[in-house]
Amino acid sequence: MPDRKRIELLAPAGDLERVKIAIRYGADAVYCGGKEMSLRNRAGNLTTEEIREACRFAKEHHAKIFVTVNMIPRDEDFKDIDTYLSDLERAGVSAIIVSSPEIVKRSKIAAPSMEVHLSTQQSVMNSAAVNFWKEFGADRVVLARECTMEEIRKIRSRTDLDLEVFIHGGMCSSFSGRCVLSNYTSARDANRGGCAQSCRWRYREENGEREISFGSKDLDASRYIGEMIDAGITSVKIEGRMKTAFYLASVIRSYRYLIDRYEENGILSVKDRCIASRIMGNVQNRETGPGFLEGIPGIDGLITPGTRDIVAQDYLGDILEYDAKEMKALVCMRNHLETGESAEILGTGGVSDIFTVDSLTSEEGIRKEVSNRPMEKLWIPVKFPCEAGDYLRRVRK
Amino acid sequence: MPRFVTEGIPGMNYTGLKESGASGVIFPVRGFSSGSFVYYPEEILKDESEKAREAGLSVYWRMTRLFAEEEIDRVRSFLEEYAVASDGIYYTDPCVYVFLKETGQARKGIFAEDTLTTNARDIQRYLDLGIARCLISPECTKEEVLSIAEKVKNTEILVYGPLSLAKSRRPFLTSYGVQSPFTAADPTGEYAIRVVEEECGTTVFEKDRLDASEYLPAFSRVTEYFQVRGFTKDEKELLEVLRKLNSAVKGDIPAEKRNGGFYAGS
Repeated sequence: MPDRKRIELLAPAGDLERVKIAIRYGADAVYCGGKEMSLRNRAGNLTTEEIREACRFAKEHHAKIFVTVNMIPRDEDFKDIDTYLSDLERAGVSAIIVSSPEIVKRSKIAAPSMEVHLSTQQSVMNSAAVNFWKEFGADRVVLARECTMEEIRKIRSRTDLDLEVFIHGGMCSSFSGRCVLSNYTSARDANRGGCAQSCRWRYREENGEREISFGSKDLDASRYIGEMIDAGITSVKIEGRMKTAFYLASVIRSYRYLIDRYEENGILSVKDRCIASRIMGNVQNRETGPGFLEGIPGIDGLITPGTRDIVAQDYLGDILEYDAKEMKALVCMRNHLETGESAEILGTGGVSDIFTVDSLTSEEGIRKEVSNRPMEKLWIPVKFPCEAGDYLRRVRK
Repeated sequence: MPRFVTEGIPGMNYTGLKESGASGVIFPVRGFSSGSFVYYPEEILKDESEKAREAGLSVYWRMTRLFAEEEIDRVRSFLEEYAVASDGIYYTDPCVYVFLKETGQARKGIFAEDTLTTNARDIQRYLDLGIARCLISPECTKEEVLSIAEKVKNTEILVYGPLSLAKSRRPFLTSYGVQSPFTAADPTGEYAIRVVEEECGTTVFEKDRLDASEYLPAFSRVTEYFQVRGFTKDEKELLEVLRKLNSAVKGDIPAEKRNGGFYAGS
């Protein structure tokens, strides 16, 4: 294997709890929104105090925290920006993700120790644009999701700036930052965190019956991990600051496994891919595809009108504690489960063997055949160790 | 003194355009621009620009596409040959600026993105690169446009033509097997769009053209450059619109229903 810098697995988190989960499940760096100037208004986002705690936790685990400051601002949004940037720097944030040229420049003055990563909102698709932003002050560029793998390789060969590439999660149907469909149809400002995902609506032909939708399938670039590493990409990024902790744990752990196996062996075997796929499970709620990596997608890259989201309900619950003596786990239930069903446990080390749920017992000792009350706590026999923070998942036959 | 810069129609009477109140004409260059109503192929650019100049018009190229890696050598070659023949180049991809700068012509750049320039500070940063001017994103409200243009010199405002809502690299219409352009509406029927697919991707427009006539008296107090985006192949229709826009600057605004776009607010 040639000597090279280890690729970074960058994961999203909508709150402090998910920051910690992302790191525990294998993220090298986590990006989250602060309360200011972030593009995911509904993601909860973190206070400066929580960001400080996230940085402390990350440092303890040899990980980094990036903060998104990536809205396309109006003039009033710049109020107190210098103070905010220096607060982030003092909190220990390693980098901010930015789309505004003003913030790129301000950050270099107000918070010079933080790196500036240029957001995908700038839709950078070529090496000349990468080099422009390098000269402008960016320390890293997040490439547009519209780049093919071949283009990514060529860009890499023509610039020495750190490059970040999306590998998993939701895709905009249009160039990020170049879409105001949401503003038009919902008066919700897509570039300031209010995107209503109007691209996923059905649009009916005027004076006709045909319908189209612009909604994109989600990205799954797990097949390209080896190529990304070989190409010399600095960071591979998972999308989804709004996603649940369970989703993040599954996706991050799966990519962690692929990256580690590839970096160890220089190749991914069929078995490696099967294991990664099993770790991921049925966590997706939309169809997935390779995005633009294989070329410009046609109808196969779209969620066409009438397609429903996938509701797998495989997330059964959170492990609260494990009783090693009695070999049973206390689970906070999230979905319907019956005795006799098959299950597995997802933990920071991967997935367990599959086992049959022999019994369900309440904390008061009452046996049940069915769990149908979300958040109820039940003891389930588990013949191998697991720990608080692991997840119980259904296994379909 | 307001200056109207409008997309042209190949072979048009440029003298008529000048007489109708245009100060400049934009040639959307085939292969380098997207979402335009008509395009000028490279081979006619020099002839057409000579004719436009003879009529007293400034001449601009529109190159407002985002370019993939394999396209940038072609962008560079084009600019090496043709940039000198223009008075300014509308662009969105920084690679255009980079190649203009390489040939000492950065001052010809006009940053004209529809969405990214929503505040005075960012616009000033783009202008600090040494370019000529910067379009204020038409997703701003009238008040925001006025506020930005008061703070920053050398801005341009889109005042007439198709209003772009989204740009994609995907071939949406081919994917669905429908012809371009495709006019449709959202499930409520309230929001109509016009979808145009080209070789380089798809642009979604608001169905109705933007007509910012009623805001022109205010806009003309804060900036001098106004852009008319291509909307017709009918020369007479274009000239008529220009005359109306010129009258609107002086407050002569016919009472008729028009689409003020985002300038009108939510």
